[in-house]
Amino acid sequence: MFGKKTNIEEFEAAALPHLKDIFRTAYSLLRDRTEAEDLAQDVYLNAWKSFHRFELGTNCRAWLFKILFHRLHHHRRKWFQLKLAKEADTLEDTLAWEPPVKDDLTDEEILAALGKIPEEFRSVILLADVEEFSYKEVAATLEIPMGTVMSRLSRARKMLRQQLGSVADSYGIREHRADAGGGRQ
Amino acid sequence: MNVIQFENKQCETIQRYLDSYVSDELLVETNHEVLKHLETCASCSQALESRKTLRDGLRRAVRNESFPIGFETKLRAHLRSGEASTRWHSWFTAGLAVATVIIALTTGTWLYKQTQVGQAGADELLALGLHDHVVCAMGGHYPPVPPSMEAVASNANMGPRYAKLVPEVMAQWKDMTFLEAHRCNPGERIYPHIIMKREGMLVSLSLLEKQVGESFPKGWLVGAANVNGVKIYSSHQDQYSIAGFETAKHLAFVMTSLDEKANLDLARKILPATVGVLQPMEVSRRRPETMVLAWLASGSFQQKDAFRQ
Repeated sequence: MFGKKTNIEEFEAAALPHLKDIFRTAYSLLRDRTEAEDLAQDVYLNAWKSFHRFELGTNCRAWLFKILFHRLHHHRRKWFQLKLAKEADTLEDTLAWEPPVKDDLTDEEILAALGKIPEEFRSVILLADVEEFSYKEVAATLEIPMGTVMSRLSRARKMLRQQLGSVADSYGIREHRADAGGGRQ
Repeated sequence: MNVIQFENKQCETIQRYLDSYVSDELLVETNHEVLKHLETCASCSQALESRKTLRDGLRRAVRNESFPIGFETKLRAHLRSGEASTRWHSWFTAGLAVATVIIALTTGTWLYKQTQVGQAGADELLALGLHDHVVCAMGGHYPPVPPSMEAVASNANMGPRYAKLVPEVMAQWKDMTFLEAHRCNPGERIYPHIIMKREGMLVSLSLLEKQVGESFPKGWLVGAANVNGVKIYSSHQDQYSIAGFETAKHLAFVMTSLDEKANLDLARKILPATVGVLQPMEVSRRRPETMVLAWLASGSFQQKDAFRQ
């Protein structure tokens, strides 16, 4: 660190405006507030350590998200890799149809459905639909090809619709639409 | 970006690409085609609305998640403490580096000076030995035929005590020829001196009884070698190499026209035997009762001198 020309004020001005985005993405991925806080803090401490390599004027938000996923994978690779792969396969088998989405779904219902999507798909839908990153930025953040981003996003949305379709089922929406000539799209 | 060619109204194909449309990742012309299709297709429009509803609902739900109170303040504090630590570490590291350089330079300079001073002191003593080699051996003060061991042991030559060193030297320096062993006085001092020869080169082992204050410098960096705890000092002057070591009462010198390292090796070989022969002379051979008698005979004023020997 000797010879570093950046200062903490400069870093805070560039990085802290994105803290809420980083935290809520961390929380959406981990579903645990304490772990999300720890992860967000880890992201910022690591970002500060390597801030001398960051070029001011470039996309700080995208840079922070890249660190977020890097740190997340660093901590969870050993523990969750096997589990995630298994979860993904199981869910893919169940995606036979696209149920309609209820208009007045609550936040809790949506977040609960999001929590059931495997992390590799959840990451993409969070970055693309919530954080509004372009496909190119998502690909750079997750270090995956753009084609993979597109396919994962499509599948993630489909999984989410399916999860929320189950909610719709519980309200009798599916039966209502089937009776009205809707049904499978 | 995805360019899609529509040949017919293929709702399934369009719906497959609705995700890219929702994400605004289609090219302008493709976007236009999708819009055109949506104007006339209720089913695809409904699918599009469903996707938009889901995206907007997801965005809202995630963004509505409460942010932990005080987290930003806590994080700022962590960053600041990290920075303080970093700055302290930077200054400490820098200070440590500067201090290390200063200490290294100071120590290096001091050691260099000590070494130089020590070597100068060693050279001064080594010159005493070289004087004997140059004047006596190189001056040709040895007989054409080497003396017998009996002659060497006579008081006219080495004397019985130093004569014991001759066979030891011959045993260690096996590739040399013995030429002479005597006590000589090239200047004011007497040197027990053994002269050997190897392939036309004269080799001297000279001894000298120490005078007060005559000792090699004790600096740990001074000295070229160490054999059995005895340091060997080495130097070079003109065509001669000189190696020297000391016992309690003697200085010993090995001198040749070899290079300094080869000369030092000769000194290494001979040192244990030399020290062994000199050892009986290093301690007083007077028994205590002899010293008491000497004290009685010479008076109390001689007591200190008697015990000093």
